[in-house]
Amino acid sequence: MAINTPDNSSPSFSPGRAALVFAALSVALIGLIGRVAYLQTYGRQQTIGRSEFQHHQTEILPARRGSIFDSKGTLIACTIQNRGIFVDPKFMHERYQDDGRSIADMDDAVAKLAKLMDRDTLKLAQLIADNSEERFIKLAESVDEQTAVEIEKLKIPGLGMMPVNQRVYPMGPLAAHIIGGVGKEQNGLEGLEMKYEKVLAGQDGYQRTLKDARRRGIGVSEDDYVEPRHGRHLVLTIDANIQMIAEQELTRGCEAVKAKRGEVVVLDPQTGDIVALANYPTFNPQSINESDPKARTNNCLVAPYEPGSALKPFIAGPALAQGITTLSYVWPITGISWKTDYGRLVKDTHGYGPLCTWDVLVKSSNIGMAMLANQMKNPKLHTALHSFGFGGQAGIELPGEDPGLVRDLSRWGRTSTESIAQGYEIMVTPLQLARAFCVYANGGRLPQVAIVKGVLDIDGQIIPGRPRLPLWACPQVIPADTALQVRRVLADVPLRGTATGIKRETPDWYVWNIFGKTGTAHISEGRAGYSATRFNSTFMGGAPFEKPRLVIVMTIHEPDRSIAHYGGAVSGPPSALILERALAYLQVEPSPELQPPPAAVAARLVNYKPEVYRKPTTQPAVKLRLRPNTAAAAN
Amino acid sequence: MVKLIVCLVCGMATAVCILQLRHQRLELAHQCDDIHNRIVISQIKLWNQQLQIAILTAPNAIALTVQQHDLTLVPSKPFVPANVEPSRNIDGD
Repeated sequence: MAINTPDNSSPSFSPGRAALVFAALSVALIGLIGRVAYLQTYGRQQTIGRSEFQHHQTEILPARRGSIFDSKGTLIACTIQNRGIFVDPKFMHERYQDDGRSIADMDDAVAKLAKLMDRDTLKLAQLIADNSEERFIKLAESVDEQTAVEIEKLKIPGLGMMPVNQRVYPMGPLAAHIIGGVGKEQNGLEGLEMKYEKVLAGQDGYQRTLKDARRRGIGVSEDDYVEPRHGRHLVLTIDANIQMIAEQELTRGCEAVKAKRGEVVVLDPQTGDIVALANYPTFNPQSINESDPKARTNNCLVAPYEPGSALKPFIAGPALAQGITTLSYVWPITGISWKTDYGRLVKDTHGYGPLCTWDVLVKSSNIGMAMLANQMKNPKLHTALHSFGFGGQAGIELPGEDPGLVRDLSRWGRTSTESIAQGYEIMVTPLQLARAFCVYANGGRLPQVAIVKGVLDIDGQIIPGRPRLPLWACPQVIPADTALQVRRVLADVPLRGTATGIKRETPDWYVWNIFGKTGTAHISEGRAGYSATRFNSTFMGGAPFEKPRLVIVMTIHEPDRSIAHYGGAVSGPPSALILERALAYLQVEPSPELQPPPAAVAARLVNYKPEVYRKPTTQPAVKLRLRPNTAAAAN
Repeated sequence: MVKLIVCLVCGMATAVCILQLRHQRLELAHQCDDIHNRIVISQIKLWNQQLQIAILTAPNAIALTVQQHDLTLVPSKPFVPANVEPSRNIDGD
């Protein structure tokens, strides 16, 4: 009989073991639930952030700074985009290891990179090795597009590029004091770059790119792309060609007399537009941070000075308009000095004897002008100076304009009348002087000056920056016939007055009739009085006489007295050269012969020779006394 | 059994289609990104070319070239007085 025995080989159920497994599974489940709860609550933002970092990359899209153009559309300042180079050393090392490549391969790639970037191979390799745990090292601030393409071809993992804007001035130092310059952060530091920062700067955009495991861009969704708003373009009133001419002649003029500094302003008297504005010495806006701060000062606007005899037309004009004198009235001048009622000696450089008002201006007689100012009386003198805009800002768009100084009438002293008559006790800027002189070139109106024509819109139309008065609506300072009278008198200055240096030293002096006035002023040394050896030499003029197209003021400070120091010799010839070159460039019709003064005046003129008004039939030889023989290189 | 197989095959086909569409979407996004980058690069090249033109046509660059090559420039119109009215005279009194 068979006996059934239990099967010992089948597994037996162990409650203890089952409990252990159940407990382990429960702990794992609770752990997972806890992790999920953590990721969904407290760790949510951190997780999203990490995911964002792994899958997306946010790039700033820099806005392009607006360009600056001259009145003819020539580019003066623009922005280009270069590439900045950076590396992620940790990613670079990891990628080389994952791809099974050796350190030697990496060094080889770094050597090629260093060669393209023109950097030392060892130093670059050392930089990457020393920062192997870092995620971002900047290797180059800016490389050009061609180099960037070559670097891209190396396909080095972890190497990245970012767009970097760079401001460029294609004309170099031309119009430096107008444009100013930008700093490393592309923010305006000086001139129009600073004044029009908001217009030019624009607004950066950004894009958030989806990346693959190798950090290659996959795509950008519409919501992740904000287009940069580029800066708007500025159009100026200056003409780059005339600006270049002005800078070249100012530099030559200053170097010829070893002057400390100089300024020139060229205006269109019919509109008040600034055609050129330059200072000597100058600087290069491209390297503004390395330039001398003194050279960056725009002295045309910020450095008022005593103009000397250049002020005389602004006294004579109103005196003629008010009938205080006439052009043929003869002033009883007896020598080279005249004693006032209170005993002050007013001196002339030359003793011509009695001079009519015409010749007082042409020969720039201090005595004659002092007598005229005395006859005019202080209140009228004060009003006249203010009416020409002295003592107030000209209203140019450039920053830092100085209003100059015309003291309040109550603060005028006993000597003020004679001092003002000679162009002292009053401070003007070259810009104010040029604006005021426009009155004699445009029929007696004081124009509004401007250097910014407007901002370019998207269709290429110029939108004016601020409302400007047309000439007919500008203040009438003196009647048009008086303005013409004074202009005619001033046309004698280069022919038989204090600026005959123009005739001697400029080759085309006879082509256009130039009118102008010189000024030579001693420089004040404070309580010590006026320097006997330091001068400011000014010439203000315009051309052509018949229908003036340009007005110029040039001031040269502290010329070497052993070479020359009178305004007619120092500033006159360079100013005339600027006018002649600019008028030739503008293709202005040559002037006819200037008519001699009326007989009533001619009979009273000193050393009067009618032949001075006749034009030469052949080009006369000129002696370039104050110009270097070697042609100065273009800027 | 047959019904189960049909369901599984349909499910797989749907999954493949969805994956394919997703892949195409990514491909298109990638192409779009690539085109955008090329537009940006073209724009940058245009800006650079604008600068090159400005550098070469700047008045001082032209003046330097004229000087270096010793060129003699003449005005487009001769400087002879044209039929203009004589300068107006003024009353001296």
